Amino acid sequence: MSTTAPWHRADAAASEEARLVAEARSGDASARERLISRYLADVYDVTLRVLGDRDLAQDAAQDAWVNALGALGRFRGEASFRTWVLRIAINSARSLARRRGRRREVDLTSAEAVPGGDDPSSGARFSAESDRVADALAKLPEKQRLAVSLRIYQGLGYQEIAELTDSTEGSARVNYHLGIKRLREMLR
Amino acid sequence: MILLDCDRVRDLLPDYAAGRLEPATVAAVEAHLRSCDECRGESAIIGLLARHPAPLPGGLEARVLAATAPRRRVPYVPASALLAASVAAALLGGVTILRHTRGPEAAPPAAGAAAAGVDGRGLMMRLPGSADDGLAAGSASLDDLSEDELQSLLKELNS
Repeated sequence: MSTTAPWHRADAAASEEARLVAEARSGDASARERLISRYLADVYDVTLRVLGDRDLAQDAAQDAWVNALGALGRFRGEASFRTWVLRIAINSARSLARRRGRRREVDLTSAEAVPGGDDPSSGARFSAESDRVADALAKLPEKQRLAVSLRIYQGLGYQEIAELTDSTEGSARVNYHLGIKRLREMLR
Repeated sequence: MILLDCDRVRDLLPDYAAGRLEPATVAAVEAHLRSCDECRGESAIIGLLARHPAPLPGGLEARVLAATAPRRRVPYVPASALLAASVAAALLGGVTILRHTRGPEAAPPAAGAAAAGVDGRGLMMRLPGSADDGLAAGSASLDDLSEDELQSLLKELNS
């Protein structure tokens, strides 16, 4: 098991990311695949939070990667690649939502395999809890939903959330706290 | 020991839940949580959320890898070569028609044959999708507030 501290791992991850991006830009197919593997879960999470529908979220995640890799030559490295690709994911999801009509309201329950060990009742409990969380998140307005999701699942700071959601850092912080307050009411 | 107030602890809770904090900050957050019911309640909710990320659908990675795999490149053919090929093809066609109407003659040298074999796919370059930078505007109400007003709102929220 690695004993490296998380903040040191973050530095190493940033440097690995820069190397992968440079290799992908020079046409290295394996670097492109590793970027996808590394950030696909983040991209999917974001498209799911915007669209509220698993099938559409997968379509948007695919669109996002096609768009991102097609535009890789325009990536200037001002933000991290991860932030850049998440922004493209949000745009792809919103664009798909516009093409398909308004956001679906929302059945995020069921279907996916869940961790629960060998105990079926434990798996069922985890699954039920997971459904409650997904439902509650889906009921938040988009800016709150994205602020909470980007802060908790992606670990982004308020400045990065603001850049991704076209708002200010202060707004991102308030949207996050408003979202958490409402989730506490729904999940108590 | 670092002392943290409620606002700071609440900002740190997602990083605390994900194990992203340095040990000294973890100790400070935990000391605060031991003495603050409100932050402990928020920590429990954030822990609950953090335990349930959206599971990645099986097959999505393979699907995305297939959709983004580099296409086999069609060799670049300059437009001038295509024009020459078109002219050659037209000339050959004309000669063929003449041969047909005038009877059999020796076939002309197939000067444009190689070029005539070029198909038009070289021009059908697949353009990469461009990233749509135009984010849809959401509710602007918070964005219209000043930093002071946002701070007051945060204090109100956390009171």
